[in-house]
Amino acid sequence: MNPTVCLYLIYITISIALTVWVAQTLHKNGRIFLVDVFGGNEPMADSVNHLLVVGFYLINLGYVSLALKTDAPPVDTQQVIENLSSKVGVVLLVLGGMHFFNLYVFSRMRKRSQQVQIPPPIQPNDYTLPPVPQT
Amino acid sequence: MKRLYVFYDGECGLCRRCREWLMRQPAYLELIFHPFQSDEAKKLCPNLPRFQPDQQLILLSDEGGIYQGENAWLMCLYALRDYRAWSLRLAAPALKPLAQRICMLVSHNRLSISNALFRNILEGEETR
Repeated sequence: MNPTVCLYLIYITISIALTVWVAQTLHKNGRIFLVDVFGGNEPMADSVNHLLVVGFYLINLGYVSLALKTDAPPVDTQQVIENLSSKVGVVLLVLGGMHFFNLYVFSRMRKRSQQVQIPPPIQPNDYTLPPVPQT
Repeated sequence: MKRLYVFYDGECGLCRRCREWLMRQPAYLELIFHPFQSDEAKKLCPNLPRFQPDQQLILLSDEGGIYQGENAWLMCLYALRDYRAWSLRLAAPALKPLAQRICMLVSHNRLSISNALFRNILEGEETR
């Protein structure tokens, strides 16, 4: 097995393992957030959670496979490690970026759902008799 | 608070346009519109003339609170699902004076703005 193939195999293993780990974290901890956003509607929260994780997998695995090919094929172990480190580093940054983007989406949804309960920002200028609705 | 009564100027094209726009928006609170000149408005709020509805927009909540001018506009935004965040932003101390100035400017010049922008529509409605 030449060093390049070795690099590819290790790279794929590490990248997929990292993606699965981040996706699981997101799936497990995002659920509580989503249940709150959807006002306790658990089936809805689970559904959205699942769809988000699927999108997360697709984007990350797509990036991992696109970034597989190396421009400078390694000839010895040192170069394998260097090459591997820079590739995995970029994958980690992409995962981090995706993770924060997901958090942003979650918090935006939550903010939006909480806005229903916010009291009016201003007080009345004056008071009068409450109106009697017309029939 | 579940319902807001909006008393606008029925003779102003701009105000009628605004009403149409407001009615199309998804809302948290029910907005009910009456021209301040109408009998319904007088029935709902017998002392409406005291709040000078010809000078500025007047809004009456179902709890009896009267909102005037920029406060009435901000409450309209507050009632809308897509603009509630904007009402909170504009009601903050930093932006409230600006909102107030713009509302004053538009309210005082509403008839000339209506004439300039919506004259054709108003004439069309009158001939119909």
